[in-house]
Amino acid sequence: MEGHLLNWIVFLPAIGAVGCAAAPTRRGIRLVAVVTTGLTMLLSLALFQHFAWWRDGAEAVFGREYGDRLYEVTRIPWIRVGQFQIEYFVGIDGLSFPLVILTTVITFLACVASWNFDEWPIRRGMRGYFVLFLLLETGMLGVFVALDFFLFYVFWELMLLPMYFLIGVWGGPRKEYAAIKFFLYTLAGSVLMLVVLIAFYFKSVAAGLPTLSLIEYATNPAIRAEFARPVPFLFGSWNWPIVMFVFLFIAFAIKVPVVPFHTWLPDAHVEAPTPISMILAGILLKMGGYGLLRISYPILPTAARHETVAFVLASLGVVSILYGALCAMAQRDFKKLVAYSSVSHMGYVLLGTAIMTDAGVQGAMFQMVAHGITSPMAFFLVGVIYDRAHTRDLDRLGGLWLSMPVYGSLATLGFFALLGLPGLCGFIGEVWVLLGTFSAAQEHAWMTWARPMAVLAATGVILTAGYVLWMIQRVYLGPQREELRHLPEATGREVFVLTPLAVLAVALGVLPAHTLFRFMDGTLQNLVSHVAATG
Amino acid sequence: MVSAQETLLVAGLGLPLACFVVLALLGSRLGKPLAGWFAAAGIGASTVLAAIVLYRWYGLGEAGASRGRMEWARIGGVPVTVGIQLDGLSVVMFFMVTLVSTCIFVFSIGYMAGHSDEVDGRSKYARFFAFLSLFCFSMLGLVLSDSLLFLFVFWELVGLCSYFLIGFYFHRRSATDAAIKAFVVNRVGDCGFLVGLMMVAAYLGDFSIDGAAARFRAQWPDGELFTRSFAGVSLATWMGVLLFCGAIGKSAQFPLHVWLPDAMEGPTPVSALIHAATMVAAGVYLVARIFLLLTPGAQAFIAWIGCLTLLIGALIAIVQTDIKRLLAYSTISQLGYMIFGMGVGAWIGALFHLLVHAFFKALMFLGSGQVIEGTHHEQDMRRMGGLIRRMPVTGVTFLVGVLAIAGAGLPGVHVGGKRIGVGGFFSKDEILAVAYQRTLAGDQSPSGDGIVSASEGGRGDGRIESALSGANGALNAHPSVPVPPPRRLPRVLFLVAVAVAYVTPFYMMRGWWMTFMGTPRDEEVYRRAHESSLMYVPLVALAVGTVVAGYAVFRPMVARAAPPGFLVRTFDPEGASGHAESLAQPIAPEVSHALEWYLAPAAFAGMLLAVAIYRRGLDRAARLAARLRPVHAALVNRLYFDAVYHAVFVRGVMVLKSVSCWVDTRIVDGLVNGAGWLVRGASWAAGRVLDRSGVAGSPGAEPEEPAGRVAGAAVFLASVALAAGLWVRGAPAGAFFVLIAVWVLLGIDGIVNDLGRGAIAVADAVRRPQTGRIRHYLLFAAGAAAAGMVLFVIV
Repeated sequence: MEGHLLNWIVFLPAIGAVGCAAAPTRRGIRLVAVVTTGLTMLLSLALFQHFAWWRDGAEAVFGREYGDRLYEVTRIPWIRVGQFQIEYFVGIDGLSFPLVILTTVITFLACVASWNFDEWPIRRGMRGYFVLFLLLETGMLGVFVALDFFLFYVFWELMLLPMYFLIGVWGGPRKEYAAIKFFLYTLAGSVLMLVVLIAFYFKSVAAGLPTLSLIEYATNPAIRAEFARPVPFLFGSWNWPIVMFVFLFIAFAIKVPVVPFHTWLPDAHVEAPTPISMILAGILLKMGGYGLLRISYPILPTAARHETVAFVLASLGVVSILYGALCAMAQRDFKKLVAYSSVSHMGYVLLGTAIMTDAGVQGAMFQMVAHGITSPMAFFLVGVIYDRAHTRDLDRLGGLWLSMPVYGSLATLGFFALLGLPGLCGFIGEVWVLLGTFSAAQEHAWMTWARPMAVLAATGVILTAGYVLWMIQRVYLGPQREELRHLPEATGREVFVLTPLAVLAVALGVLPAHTLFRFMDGTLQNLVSHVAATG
Repeated sequence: MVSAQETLLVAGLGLPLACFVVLALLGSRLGKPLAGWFAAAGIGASTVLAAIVLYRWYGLGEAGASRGRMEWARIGGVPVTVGIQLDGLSVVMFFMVTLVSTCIFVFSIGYMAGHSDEVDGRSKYARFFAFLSLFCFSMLGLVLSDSLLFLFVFWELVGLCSYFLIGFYFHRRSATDAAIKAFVVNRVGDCGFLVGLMMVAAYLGDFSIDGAAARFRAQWPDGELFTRSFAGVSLATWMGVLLFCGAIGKSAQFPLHVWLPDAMEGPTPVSALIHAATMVAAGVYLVARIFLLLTPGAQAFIAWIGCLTLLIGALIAIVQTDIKRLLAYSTISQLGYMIFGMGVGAWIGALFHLLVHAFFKALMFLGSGQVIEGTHHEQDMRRMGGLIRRMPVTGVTFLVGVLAIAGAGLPGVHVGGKRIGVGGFFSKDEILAVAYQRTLAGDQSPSGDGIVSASEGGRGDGRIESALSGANGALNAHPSVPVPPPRRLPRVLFLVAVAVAYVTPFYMMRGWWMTFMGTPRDEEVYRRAHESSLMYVPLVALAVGTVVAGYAVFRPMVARAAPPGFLVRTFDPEGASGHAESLAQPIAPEVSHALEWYLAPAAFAGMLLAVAIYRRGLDRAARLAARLRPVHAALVNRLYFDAVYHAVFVRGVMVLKSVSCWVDTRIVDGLVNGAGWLVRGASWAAGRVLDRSGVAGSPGAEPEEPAGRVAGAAVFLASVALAAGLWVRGAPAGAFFVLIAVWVLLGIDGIVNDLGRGAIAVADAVRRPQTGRIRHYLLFAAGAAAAGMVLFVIV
């Protein structure tokens, strides 16, 4: 296992999938899945050893420049056809590390949340469900650790297929529509990414260094020079990096999702079974933001620093924040409300990324992790009610804090974290992004729009408070309804899923630096200065 | 190093938090009276610790303590530290909060002893004390925070506790509505606060209160804050105003005052603690803390807001019939006085009034709680009357509160060098005296004892002074720099504030008389009324505190909290003088009595008028109301603020959300689905027209369709022509894309057919069409397209 920790982490779920396929009993299948995800989580915690920066100093851990400190690297040639140099190249740095941990933790909890599979409306195919579930985990982890563009793409597609089936087979009434919508949307983005991949590759060939390494694209001077060379495109007037950037952005924006590419999300969430919603919101959405930070910004800094591009991206971020919040307010379906709140919260990620300052990127990353904690919690909370009351209609719920006090308290905590209450994790990302955006004009004089945008985005906190509190009032407060009076209290398993999330929400909110910032700041600073220096 | 005081304060801060955690986890096991006593013991211990710190601070005169600060996080390059603001102001506030809290906790045990702890029939006793404890923790944290960001964090947390406690009886729709209203209205103010924090981060780069003040001073006069302006107002002023927005929300100032009366839906001890004594005063505390970041422009804004608030609150209070709402509006009005005092520069007076008000308002709220609990939840004063015979302790202590808020005292009388009066007699006088100097007497030099040079007089432990000294060594080096007089404010501010001082005694005495005097108007209520001993102990304690502590204890303490000579200096960059400082409070160390001859008569006149009108029941008042119907109606409808806000903002957001939802489902998603339909339609059409094998599901060989073939061939030729044209004009890539686009739109199969046809023989017109699987063609063509596209891109 020595030296292959990361490979084990990525492929252990795939091995577990084989085990699931072979497991003799229904209970065995679940057991294998839970143990596999649990082991993966424990293994991933071992990655902390590399980020003990208080021992070695931040620079020793994160390096001086973007890409010069990677851990658990495995780099071996994979496919060689003629000129093609496709490598199996994985590794982690401060950018991917938090998301790897997030993935293993949320997947484990989602797996525990799947334990009551036998009580689901669709009970057939348990074996298939858990096999796909574990394959999905491999795909997601692969996306976060892949440093070869082709490998990234393969994992990206690998995660798509299990997700399609998980929604399409075990979903709600309109599952086919939702699954196909999700699939086609992501595929449309993938095709654009594929075009960019091939273009990048031929550029590197032109530079004499055929490679698909995402790190070399960003840091190799010869490749950088070739990337910067203008290319006649379409009608001869477009700028190559910008076209590539836009293609990539659309691919990632669909995943984030950014308004107006977001409409797959509410449908997918509403139809997906609860654990799949948790993964979808908790992890899949982060791939968009991660892709922007790993591929778009370091490799195409000139495009990223283009004034119009930055303006459009930041505006889309602000629009997502406000529009998502307004749409959330209009929902009667509890799950759809949470889904739209994701659109709103991920808007901060885009806004923070678009301004590309230290505070902004810190905030964006923190927001991704924080949202990766609060939104699975919220979806699980919705699932708990749905399992009992068989409705998600906000107007038919009420008084649940009285009938289910423990659940009600955990729910309140979760939703206040979602609301962005100080002391809980949702607050930090928002404030960092907002303060960073406002200050961005200080760093980049051309960002004259940054201050008004920060002010506009700040009004989002009012809307967020509005829809969250209104929802809490309709679901948890009020007199008990006769038909809901005897709902059973949260079970031990449910509390087991919710408690770690609640603890994380508090821990990240109270000590953001000690729990998260310290493990990624160095890389993020290198990334920002890399973009600033080369853009 | 962390000093002993800091350790004690942190312990005092931690105790309520520990109580919260224990009660949240084990509260139901502790059971009914025990959970309450546990919480009360926690806050009581905090009070003892606070008293020790206070004693050490004031009794022993220990000089400014060292600060233990820890870096909590960095926002980009801006460090955020966590530390304790240890100075006279925080120590006094800490003591006041713990002391009042202890009284209210004990009172709450009595209040909750009956059925008041039941929510929809289930006891939520532990939950009540858990949230009270969490509130105490948050409030104490707010007072101790030495950084604006942490102040904001605790600021939101007290708001959260307020939300939970207003909505304590959450089975009642009105309670949850009120809770949401309070939280959301506060968030509106906090949004401004947040933007202010953004400005602090961007322009000052330091969140610590002292550090920000030092950098603010260093910016003057060439810094960005002072040289740049937005909408004709300098950024420095904007920053102050935006930070103050937080106070507008939390301290229920106009135009965000609407949440406070509704907040009375909470249990009465909550109203006493949170919505009268402590949390709502946090706004005043905030202004006191950021005082050195306020330009004269921002101060004037604050004065105006305060003045409008004290007027509105007092006017609406006149017609209230619900005892708690009466107190709520009087709280708004008194908070207006404090904010007004801050705005005119009466730093000491405003804080003095804050402390005194905390006591007498908590006293009156607890008194009303005693009445409400004793009469089995009757809050309508029209159904009370004569209750003093049933609840004498409550009535008398309540009267003490009324005298205090009215500012009753004996002008010109000295007993042993001390003046005789209660509460507001001193504090309100001080605010108004400063207001007088800033408005009517503004241009003249204030009386001799007011002007003191910057570092003259007194000890060197002035904490605000020390905050300034670092950045302003020059001033310290020249102690005799003349301090210019402040700018004059419009005199209407002063006149309104004095006029309202006549209204306050009237509405308070009216309330007291309606409740406790006259003949009982409702036999049932009168018969049920009784007092509980556990509840009147805190009442007596607070009453004694109101009478004795106000003048004897708090005034000197607050005075010591301020720099020596009461020189709270602030910036006057816009002033004609051109000096960096102006004198904010030109008042001597002794309490001002400049206006006592105006205010004491006001108190008595107002109270006597109330007695005259209400002495024989409500008839005379009803006749008066009928005669002044339009005015009365406006006041009863709370000057239509709620109605207008509801119509504009609530409805506005509701419309906006419906529009967004409609756009989302009809337009954005409509486009997506439309694109899906378009592709399906196109592929169907392409299959019909160009692929003569037919679409899936109709496998039978269809008859020839020459028309379709001709059309396909024509489009093919046209696209080739267009592409050729583009190629000739030097856009090969464009040509390629046109071909691809047209062909994809037409249907891949058709293209392939056309290509095949061209390749084999054009003459063979009756050839059977190729029957291929569309999918194969699609893949092939997509691959070819992608490869070709890339080739063109890199060429």
